[in-house]
Amino acid sequence: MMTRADFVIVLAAVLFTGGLYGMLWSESGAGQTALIQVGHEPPQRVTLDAHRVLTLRGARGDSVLEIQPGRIRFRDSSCNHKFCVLSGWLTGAGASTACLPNQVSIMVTGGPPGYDAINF
Amino acid sequence: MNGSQQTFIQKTMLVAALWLMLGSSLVSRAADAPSPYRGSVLEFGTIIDISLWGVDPAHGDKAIETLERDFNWMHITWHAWKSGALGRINSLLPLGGEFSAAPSVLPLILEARELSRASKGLFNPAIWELIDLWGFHTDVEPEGPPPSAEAIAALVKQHPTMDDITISGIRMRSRNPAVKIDLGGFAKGYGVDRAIETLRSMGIDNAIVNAGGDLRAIGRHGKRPWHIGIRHPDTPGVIAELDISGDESVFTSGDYERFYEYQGRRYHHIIDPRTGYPATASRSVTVIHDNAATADAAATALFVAGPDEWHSIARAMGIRYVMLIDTTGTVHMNPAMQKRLKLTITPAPKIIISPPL
Repeated sequence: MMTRADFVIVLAAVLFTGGLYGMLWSESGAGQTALIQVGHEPPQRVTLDAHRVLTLRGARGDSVLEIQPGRIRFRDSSCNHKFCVLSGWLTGAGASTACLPNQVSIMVTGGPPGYDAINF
Repeated sequence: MNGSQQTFIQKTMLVAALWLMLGSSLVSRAADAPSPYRGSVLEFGTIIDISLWGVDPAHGDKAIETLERDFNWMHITWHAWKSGALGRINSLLPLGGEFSAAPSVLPLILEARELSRASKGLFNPAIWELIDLWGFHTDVEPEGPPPSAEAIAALVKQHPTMDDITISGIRMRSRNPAVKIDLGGFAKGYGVDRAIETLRSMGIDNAIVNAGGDLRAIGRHGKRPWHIGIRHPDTPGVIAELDISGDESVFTSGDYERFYEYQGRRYHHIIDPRTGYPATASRSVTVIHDNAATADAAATALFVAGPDEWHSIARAMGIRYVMLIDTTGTVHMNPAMQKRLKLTITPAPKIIISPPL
C-alpha cells in the first residue's frame, strides 16, 4: 500500500526526471547563443542571456543588434530597406537573418531547436 | 526498525535507483545529441549558411573553407557585369563574331538555355540589357529611377533570347546584338549544386547549403529529417514549414528580395521578358526540386508566369512542387505541395489547389 510519503517521493522523482528531460533531451542543452559575422571576419559567438545592445561597424555603417534572454534581432542597420530589421526577433536554433548591404549576419545556434534553415 | 519503516526505505531506494538510471541515461543522451556544425560565408553577393551533421569540427572547418574558396571563384567567374569569364563573354556577344568561351561558364550557359526553352522564355538569362536598364546591376542597393518607357520598349522589341546564341564546342556567337547573359536566377542554384557535390566528395552526406534563403538539403539531421521554414513575404515569421530527408532543394523568388521605391512606387528585380517591366502578378513563388539550379530557374519563371500560367510552365519544366502567393495574398499550390507543407500562419490564407502537376 503506497503511503503519502511514498507518493511524495515518487512525485518528486517524476518531476525531477521531467525537469532533466526538458533540460537535457533537447538537441542543445547548452545555453542559447548566436553567431554574429561581420564581413569576412571570423564569426563571434554571443550568449543570449541578458538584455544588451551591440553596435557593429559593417561595410557601410553601423548595425545595431539587440539581445534579450533567448532572442536577438537587428534593431537598426545602415541599409535602405531594413529587411534585416523587419525579420524581427530570432529565437529557435537555426533562425538567421542578415543585413546584406552592411555585410552583417546573425544566426541563433543554441537553445531549443527551431528550424534547421529558413527559405525566403 | 519496524516493517513499515523497512518497506519505506526499500521503496525509496528503489525509486532513487530508477531515477539515477534514467537520469544518467538522459545525461548520456544529451551528450550524444550534438547540434549541426555551422558556418557562414559571405560570397556570391549573399550570406551562405552551411550546416553539417555528424562531422568533427576540424573536418567541418575544412569543408567550410573549401566552400568559401569555391563560392568566391564562382562569384568572380560567373559575375554578370564585372570582368570575369562571363563578363568577357558579355563584352564579345554583341559584336556578332565567333569567339572561344571559357569552359568555366559554358556548362551554365548550356543548362540555362535548356531551362529557358522549357520555361517558354519566362526564365530568360538573355535580358542582361533590360536588368541593367532597370538599375539592378549594382553592388549597392539599387535606387532607380526607373527607365523610360521608350528605352524599355526598344529593348523588348529586339527580343533577346538564349536561342539567339549558337554554341559549337567552346565556340560561341550571337545573332542578336541585344543578347548579353545574366545568370542571376540560376547561378546561385548551380553553385549550391556544386557545393553539395563538393561536400559529398569530402564524405559529408548530411548537410544544408543555404545561399541567402535558397537551399539544398541532403541526408538528415541525425535521426530526424531537416526541418525547413518558409518565411512569409510580408511579415516577420514563417508562413509554412516542411521536412526534407534525402536530397531536395527549396528555392523562393520574391518581389521583396531586391527592389527600390521611386516616387512612391515599388520596382523589383524580376523582370518579365515579354513586357520589359517587373512582373506584377506574384508576391513569391516557392519550388521544391531535387536539383537546385532547376529550382532556381523555375522559381523565377513561375513568378513571371503568375497565378494564371504557373501550372502549365511548371509542368513543362518538370516541377512537382509549387507554392505561389499572389498579390492578394492567396496561396496557389498543387496537391503534392499541399501534402508537403504545413501552413503555420493564422488566420489561414485563402488557398487554391490546382490540378496535379
